[in-house]
Amino acid sequence: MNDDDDLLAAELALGLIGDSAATSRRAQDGAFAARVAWWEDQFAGLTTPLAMEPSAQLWPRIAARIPQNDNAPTNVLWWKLTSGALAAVAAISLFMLAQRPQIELPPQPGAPAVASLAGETGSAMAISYDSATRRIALAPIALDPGKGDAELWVIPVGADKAVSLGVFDARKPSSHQLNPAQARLVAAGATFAVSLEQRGGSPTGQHVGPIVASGKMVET
Amino acid sequence: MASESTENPASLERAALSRALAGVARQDRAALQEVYCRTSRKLFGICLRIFGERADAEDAMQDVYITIWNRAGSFDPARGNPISWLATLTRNRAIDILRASGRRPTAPIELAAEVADESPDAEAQLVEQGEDARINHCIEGLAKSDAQMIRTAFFEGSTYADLAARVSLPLGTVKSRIRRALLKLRECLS
Repeated sequence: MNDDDDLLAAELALGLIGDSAATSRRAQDGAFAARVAWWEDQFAGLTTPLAMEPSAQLWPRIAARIPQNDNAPTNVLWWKLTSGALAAVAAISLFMLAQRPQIELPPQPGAPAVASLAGETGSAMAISYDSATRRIALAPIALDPGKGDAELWVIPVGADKAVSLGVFDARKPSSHQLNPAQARLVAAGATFAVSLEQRGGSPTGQHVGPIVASGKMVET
Repeated sequence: MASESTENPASLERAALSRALAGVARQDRAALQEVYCRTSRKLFGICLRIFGERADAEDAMQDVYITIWNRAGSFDPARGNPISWLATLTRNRAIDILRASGRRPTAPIELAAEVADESPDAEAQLVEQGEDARINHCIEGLAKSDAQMIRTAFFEGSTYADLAARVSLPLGTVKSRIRRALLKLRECLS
């Protein structure tokens, strides 16, 4: 590619020209399109130093504009109804998720199940779960446990009792492996919820702090 | 849980983001939420730089993520870095919105003196502390006024004609200066 053509690619990438001929050339000429993309990638580097936290209300506004999946209602009545019975299921071994947080979010061989948790205060979390490997990935958004911890709960399909899956790092995505007893509780149709608890999680086996996000798991 | 410590965090992040974008391409809402989680600070930084006001930048962010939702299928992980792809999409979408609103900046620009400054500017200092992109080094090697015009085109959506008006120079002069600067940039980047 000669300099004039390459400069045209750079000018298009930078928006210096509002040239419809160059735009249609990009659509038709693969080599030219590749050069425009190269320049775009280079200029994108100018944004490297920029980062700023948007408000916690932004994600719910975006989520409201994309098609819904089976997302649980944000009312928490069922928690109030079931929380008294939770101690009975506390015997299930609790695995403290926060012990080994991991940066990697899991690859998804086969079809993972996912859940999109949301709440009225703007807190939200994406969950992805692969039953083959029992790996669960958590991507929290605007989840602020203050000086305490966020705790993840599951209500299995057909059950009316919530079981703690442990506390997790509310400030960044993490990935964990469930033990077999926990894995039996997690399947499409199960409901997840996040509560804000004291450090280390609720000591009672039932949620003590507020539920800030909930949602149902669906197969993808 | 297995450790992934042998891979560097930046390439792990790129791989995770590519996987999430593939999920978005399948219209998976949870995947979009994961993309949001991983990128909203960076993309909001870009929108804020372009609009200057948080409210405008957040409105643009809604459009940006809807655009990601609709276009994730056109990202090819074999060919590109997902972070650059998202940054470019965000910048282009934000500039489109800025232009459509008729608020593209038109204020005169006073070009810097030709002599390159020895002390790196605030933006460059930030870059040095974090992950760098080569263009941030290369652009420092240009005459300051040329670097300023390129940044203005990128962040304010100024065309050649806009720039000529804003710096009070003939269009031909602005074009030939920027084209020379772009060739110099390419040499440094390649």
